[in-house]
Amino acid sequence: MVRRVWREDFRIIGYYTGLVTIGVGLLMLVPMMTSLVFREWASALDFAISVALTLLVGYVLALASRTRSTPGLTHAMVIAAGSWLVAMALSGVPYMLSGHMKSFLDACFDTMSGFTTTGMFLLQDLDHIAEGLNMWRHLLTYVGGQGIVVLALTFLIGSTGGAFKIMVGEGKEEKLEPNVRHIAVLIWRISLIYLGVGTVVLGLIAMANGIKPYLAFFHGAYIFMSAWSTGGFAPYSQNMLYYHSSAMDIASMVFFILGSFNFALHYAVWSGNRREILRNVEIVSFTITVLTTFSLVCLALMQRGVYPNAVALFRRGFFQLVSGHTTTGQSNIYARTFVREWGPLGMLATTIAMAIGASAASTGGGFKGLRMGIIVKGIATDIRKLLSPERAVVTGHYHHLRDNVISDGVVKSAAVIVVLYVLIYVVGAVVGMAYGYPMADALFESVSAGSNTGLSCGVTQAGMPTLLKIVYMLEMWMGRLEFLSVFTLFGFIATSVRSVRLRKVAA
Amino acid sequence: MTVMRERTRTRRSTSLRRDLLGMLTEVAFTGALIGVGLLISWLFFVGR
Repeated sequence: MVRRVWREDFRIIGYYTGLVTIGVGLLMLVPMMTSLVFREWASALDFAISVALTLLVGYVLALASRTRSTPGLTHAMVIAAGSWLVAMALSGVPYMLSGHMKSFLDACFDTMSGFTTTGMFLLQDLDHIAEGLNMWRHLLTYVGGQGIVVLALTFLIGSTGGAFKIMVGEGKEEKLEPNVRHIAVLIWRISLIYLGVGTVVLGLIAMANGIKPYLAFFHGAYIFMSAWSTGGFAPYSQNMLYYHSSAMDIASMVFFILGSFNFALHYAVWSGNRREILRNVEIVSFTITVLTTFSLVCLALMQRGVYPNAVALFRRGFFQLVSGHTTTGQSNIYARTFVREWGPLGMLATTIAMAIGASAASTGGGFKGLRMGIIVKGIATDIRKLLSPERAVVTGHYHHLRDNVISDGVVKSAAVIVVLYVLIYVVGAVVGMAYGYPMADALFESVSAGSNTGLSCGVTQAGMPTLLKIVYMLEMWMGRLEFLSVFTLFGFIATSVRSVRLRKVAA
Repeated sequence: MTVMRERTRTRRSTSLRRDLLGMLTEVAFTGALIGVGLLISWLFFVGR
């Protein structure tokens, strides 16, 4: 039986959503400062207006629904799913004010893509946008990768009992530390240390490639934020192709592979348990699927004679494949190259890699290596059971931080999420095909959106059908939050409507 | 007080060393994976 919705439920949800919104407003100060540094007065004004509006909405929401109650699991799920929508809409304001968007829907598409670390964009004339807006695009993806709720947890929401539940709603369900604020601080510590290292390394490479020193480090920070958060944005429309640099490609590849790791794995390795990186089921699964799908890509590209030597094959093929598998979406080939040169097998291998995606509780998307590992091990255990004598007790194990037993429940939960991912991939592909796109293109683009990858074979552009934009946005949102919190939000809305009706009937 | 400071300093240096070793382990693994990718590309060209 579903419980009724009371006013206190709305208060809890409103209060915490307000706090997350204030967090987003404060975050907008960074691009505003960037615009001021670069003397982009119009852009700075855009951000000043957006900061004022976002803080106003956040404060009004938090003050109007101020409460001391702790969120329960239902509230936490609704807060997580709802605050992403509020953040998406308000973050789109500076995009809209910049004059680079054709509609507010396009602006929301870009911010949803940023927050969910997808990397698709509909922004017009990317090569001539203000530095502040470029900073905002990359900051969105960096913060989205850690989780906007994690951001709010760090600074605004205390260590309340319900705080961890909100993080679970955002897909960060690994309890690394008993205190939830410590978990948030830990995630930020790892990310910020890598941000420092990555900015310097990529900045130096950019400088060596002839970019002016002060801009080189901005580029370094942008590319790092995009890579680490498995986002896929880049400051220019040609993405990584703009740099024409093997060093930049390889350095970025290192950071997006690292970004695709589970935060719990980072924590274990950084705490001294370094063997974990070789034993963890997600890493084993990731290594096997990367090498298998890359072999398929090699086969496809060799058959078609696309690249003249092994280095070119590696530089384009491996980069693109791993970019897809880690759900990053950075690209060092043109979008249409997938269709014109890679062909059906190359596209299929990349689509499979994108669908599987990165690790659980990471910045990446897809149905995750952990679930792949659990399902494969579950199947292997079932086969062993069939081959063993009837009385034999056969148990399967997988290693994720410790040895875990594979129970039917674990396999079932993993399989349910995988089925849901496949469902959104198929729905997106069907809508694409209904608009006349070829099956391979429609499936590639839909999987890219649903797994939060962002690689495009040319479907995503400002002129694409409005319904397709909305479907891709829903895919990004659901894929990032892993369904549960989104379904809870829908359920909560339905229950609220029913509760209001019941109250009216009673009155 | 001096002992406390000394302990804090030791703890901080241990933590820094752990962070650094953790980072190096992760980067080494990633480097190895990229190396295997390069090897596969080369094998495909050699074996064609």
